[in-house]
Amino acid sequence: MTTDLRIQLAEVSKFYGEVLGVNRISMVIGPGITSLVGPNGAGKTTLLNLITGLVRPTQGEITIGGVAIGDAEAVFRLVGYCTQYDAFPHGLSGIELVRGVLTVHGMTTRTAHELACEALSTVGLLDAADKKIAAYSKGMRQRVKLAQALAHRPRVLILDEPLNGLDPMARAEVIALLRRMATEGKIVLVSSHILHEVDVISDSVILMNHGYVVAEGGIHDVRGEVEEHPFEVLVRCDRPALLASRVFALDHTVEARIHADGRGLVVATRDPAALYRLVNRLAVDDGLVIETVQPADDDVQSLYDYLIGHEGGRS
Amino acid sequence: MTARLEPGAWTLRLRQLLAVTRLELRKCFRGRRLLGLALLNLAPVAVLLLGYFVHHQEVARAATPASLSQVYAVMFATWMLRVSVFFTAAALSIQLFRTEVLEKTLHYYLLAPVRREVMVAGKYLSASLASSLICGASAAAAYLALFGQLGHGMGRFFAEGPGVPHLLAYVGVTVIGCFGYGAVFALLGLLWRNPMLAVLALFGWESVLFLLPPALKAATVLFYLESLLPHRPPVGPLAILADPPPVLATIAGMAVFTLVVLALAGWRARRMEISYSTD
Repeated sequence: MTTDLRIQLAEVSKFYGEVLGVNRISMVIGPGITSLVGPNGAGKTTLLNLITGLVRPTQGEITIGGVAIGDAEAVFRLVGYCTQYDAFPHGLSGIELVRGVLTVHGMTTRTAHELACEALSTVGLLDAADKKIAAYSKGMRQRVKLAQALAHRPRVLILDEPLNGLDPMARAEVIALLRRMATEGKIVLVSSHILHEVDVISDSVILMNHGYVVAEGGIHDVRGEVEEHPFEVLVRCDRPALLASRVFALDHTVEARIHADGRGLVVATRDPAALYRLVNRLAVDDGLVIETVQPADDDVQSLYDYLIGHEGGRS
Repeated sequence: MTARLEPGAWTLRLRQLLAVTRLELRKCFRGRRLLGLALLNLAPVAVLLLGYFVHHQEVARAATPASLSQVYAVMFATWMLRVSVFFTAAALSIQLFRTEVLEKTLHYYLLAPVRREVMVAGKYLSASLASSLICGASAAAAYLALFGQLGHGMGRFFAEGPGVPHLLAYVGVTVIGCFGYGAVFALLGLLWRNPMLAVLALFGWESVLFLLPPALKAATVLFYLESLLPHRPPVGPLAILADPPPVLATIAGMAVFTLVVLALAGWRARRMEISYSTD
């Protein structure tokens, strides 16, 4: 039942009365880290809440590991959800929160305590486990939420803005944790507005806007489908001026500019393959010393700018 | 595809039920609300003690087990059942979900692998146990405070007379009332964002019990609770009388009624969505 681990959405829509939450979303999310990106009001949190059953779809079906999302007893053994809500039951310490939730799973107090300690240790909060959550900093509260989501060792981890409020060190630790989970074959679905970090950690991306999925898939694949924007390639070499003079001979070159540091050329082209062939030829024929050749806009930031643009504040 | 229940599924659900009940019981006994409930429930005890100290000698002369039993029956029916039990159950049960929606913490339950019916049952149990404890203790304290006026006769009233069985009956009715009203209020709290109007309407309905024709009396909780009392309180000249139902039928009926109301609450909880921003 759960060997084929994936989240599947089929024609899922959610309307709040007349207001559109998300519309006709069909997709499959497999193991690895998938990032959900879009401006405020794009429908990211609605989508996460739909996937975790906190809201019910107006139409469509959602399954996780083949189990319908309505079957809470089965689904939430698989799923851990770190919500965006910065709220906790009154008067509890970190360990009491995590342990309490685990006892509601049906675990014995002893097992719940062991798993709670393990989770708090994973997020680096074991030393403060007995402190009241009310006395936690924003970053600590974020981490205790993460611990609560991780504690039952879910195979699917869903996180809504998990990096919010974390200091750089904690961010790096959380990102490393997510990467570790992804390499273990788990599904990690992350909504984040910190695009450069999303870029670093994501295996694939879902771009949302106005309740619709604008694009989804591997970052490189999605970039390949955005045909109206030429690809930008950064070629770091010893003679960028020479390269510039040659690239304009190519039909598909749209623009070329010397990089700000003077040690490379940024080329906008509709045919990157032709550019790569030219660079190879120059290296062989003219002795051009190539340091690196890399896509300059094959990232989440560029996809966001191309597909969503500046319609709203990024979130 | 629905996961099939494992053999130990019911054991697991029982553990989950107890876990929810334990967590929720802590919440019942915290905050300013508890102070208000204590005042509400200790009022009859305070009045009895005050009256005893102010009119000590007259009371001691006039007090007999029969007269005090009548006084207690009136006090229990008019204040404890109609006001203390009703509003204590309301205060503890109606907010079971609402408070957590307002505090944005309900998702911790909804994201656990627990049936929502189990969650409702656990929350209901905790609120009903808490209100039973508060109201039951109040009923017992008021009983002891009142019959303490018998002085030396109190020991005989409890050892040889009906003191203990009557006390247990009053506490028992209190507990049944807390569980019965608790189920109703848990459902109201799930049905309405602001259920106060519904609470007041129910209070009005229960308050005019004595005026209702027998067929409508059967649609009140109070009618069944009063039929279980050791002493029926006197009714006014305007009251429409009806035969009390048999004790066993009353208890079984209350149990069935409570289960039906809880089933409705469970059904409502299954349909519940989290949209804190709009609540």
